[in-house]
Amino acid sequence: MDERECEREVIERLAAGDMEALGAIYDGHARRLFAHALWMTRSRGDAEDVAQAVFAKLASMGEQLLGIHDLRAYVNRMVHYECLDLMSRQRLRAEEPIDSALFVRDGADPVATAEIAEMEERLEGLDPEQRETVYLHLFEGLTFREAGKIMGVSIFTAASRYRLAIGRLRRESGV
Amino acid sequence: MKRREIESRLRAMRLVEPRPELKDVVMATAARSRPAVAPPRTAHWPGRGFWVSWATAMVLVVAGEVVVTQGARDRRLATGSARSVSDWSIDLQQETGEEIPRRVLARIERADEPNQYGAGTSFRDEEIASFMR
Repeated sequence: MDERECEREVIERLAAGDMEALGAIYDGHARRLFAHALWMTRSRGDAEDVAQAVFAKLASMGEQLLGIHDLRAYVNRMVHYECLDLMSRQRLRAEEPIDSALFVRDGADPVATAEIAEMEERLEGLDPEQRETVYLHLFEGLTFREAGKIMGVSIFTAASRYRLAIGRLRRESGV
Repeated sequence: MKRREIESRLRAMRLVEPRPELKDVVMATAARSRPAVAPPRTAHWPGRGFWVSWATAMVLVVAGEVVVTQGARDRRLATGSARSVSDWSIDLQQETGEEIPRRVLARIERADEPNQYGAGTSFRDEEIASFMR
C-alpha cells in the first residue's frame, strides 16, 4: 500500500469514527503543523492552541473528511486560517507572545545559541505572511505554487513574499 | 550564493517541537468533539484531571489541585507540576498583570482544600461552569 492509499485509509477510518486514526494523523502531521503555527504566531502556547483546534475540527468533520484529497495541504490550510483568526483576536486585545523561540538551543554551544537568537530576532521583524512563506518553502519543502494555495495567494505573491523575506534577512545578517 | 547562505543557515537550525503531552490533550479534546459540529470548550485529560477552556482562561486540575491560568501564555506553566492556588494566582497576576475573577478564585480555593478532591478528579461540565459564573 503506497503513502496515498495509507492516507486514504486513515481518513476513511476517522470519518467512520475511529479515534485511533486521529492518533495516526497526529503522529504524521503534528510536528510540522505545530511548527507552521509557531512560525506564524511566534508563541508556543498559541501554536498548541491552534494544533488543538485543528485536530478537534478534524475529529468533528465526520463524512466531510472523505472530500479531502491531500491531507497534508488541507491541515496546513486549517493551520493558516486558525492562526489568522487567533492573531486577529490578539490584535484586538493587544497581546504579545511571550514564548517565541522557533529553534532549539544547544546550551553547550554559546556561539550557536547567540546565532539562533539573532536569527529569531530578525525573523520576528518579518511580517507573519513572510515568515510563513519562509517556513513552508524552506522547512516543508513546498513549491511557491503549493505554498500559495495554502495561504490563499498566487504563486507570484508567495514567491515575492519569500524573496522580500530572504532579502531582509540577508541585509540584516550582513551576508 | 548569498541567498543560499541564508537558506542553509536557517535549514541548519533545529525547529522547536510540540511537547509530548500535547498529544494527550489533543486526543482528549478531539474525542469530546465527536460528533459535535463545533469543538466544545472542555476536555477530559485522562489520568491528569480536567482541563477546560473558557474564552481566554482555563481551569486545570492536576493531582487533586486546581490551578487557574489565563489562556495560552500560561499554559507552559499550567502543564508543569501542581502548585497551590494562592501561589499560582500570585505568579499569574505578576506575570500577566491580569486578575483572576474573584468569584472564580473563591470557588477554586475551596477545591484546593486537602482531600476534597482526589488525584485525577474530573469535574462535570456543570461544576466547571459553576466555577465561572
